[in-house]
Amino acid sequence: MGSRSFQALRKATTCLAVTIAFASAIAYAGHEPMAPDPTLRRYTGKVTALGPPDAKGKVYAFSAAPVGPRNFPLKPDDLRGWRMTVLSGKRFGTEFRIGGNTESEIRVNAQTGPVEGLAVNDVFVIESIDANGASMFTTPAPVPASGG
Amino acid sequence: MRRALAALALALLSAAAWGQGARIPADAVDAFHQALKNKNTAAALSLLDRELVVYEFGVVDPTAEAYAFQHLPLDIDAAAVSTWTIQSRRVGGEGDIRWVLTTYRVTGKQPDGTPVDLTTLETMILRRTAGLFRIVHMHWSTNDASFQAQSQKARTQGAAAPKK
Repeated sequence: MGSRSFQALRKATTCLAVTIAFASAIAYAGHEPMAPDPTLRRYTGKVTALGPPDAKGKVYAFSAAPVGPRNFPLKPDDLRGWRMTVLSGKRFGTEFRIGGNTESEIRVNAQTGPVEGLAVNDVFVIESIDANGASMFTTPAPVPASGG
Repeated sequence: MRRALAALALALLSAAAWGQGARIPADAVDAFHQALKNKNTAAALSLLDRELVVYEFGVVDPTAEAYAFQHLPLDIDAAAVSTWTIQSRRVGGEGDIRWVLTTYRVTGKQPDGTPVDLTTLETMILRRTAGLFRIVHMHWSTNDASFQAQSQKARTQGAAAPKK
């Protein structure tokens, strides 16, 4: 390969890389196409069933299914310590702290109260934000396998 | 009796979660922007009326739930990396319905590092319930046509809000 064609290939590769990086960033951008915090991770889902009540009749767990573009397959305790905010229904705007999770069930920390009033099909967002409002990660979130 | 007490407790819990608002309309607007900046989803939602409709860069969120699910996270992301400085503000209305019109100089950086420096126009209509004003309508646009087009494209790429 001659040096001219090598340079052309190099330029094309660089151009493609820049285009992909820019397109990825724009696809995630919000009402302003500005660079978001790359360390902030989100999981959006909806309630599919409420968990059983504890001995005192309080419910702290529910089954969930992912909804929308901001989620990923759950592994046990992926969401532990993350902040959950209810986005619909009677508990609209209520905040909980996640105590733990399985692949399909999410349990809130008892200190943030039971999930009374939460109902099937209620939508929520769980964010990797600690009690001080800071992101719990220092590295960028992995690119989801699917979603749009 | 027990059921009535449980219902009362739930009502109080819901009211507490959604009880913020503000006594002065402009304070509600500023508190909303501050909540976005602080990545505080619950605080931002507490400043929204449940009958909220949002017009944002040519895209409509017809309900508070749709906005909360589809675009609030994006607005939080944007607010965290940009600075909104008030250039002008006019307030008006009377009784329980007021409006706050604000122009902002917005500065920040695009994902490729290009600086952003533009004017964003904001119309907020607020409704007072139980003594507190909350935002019942928001409308944002910008003086930068290419930026507006980019924002509109980004906003229409999200998934539709789930239906019950």
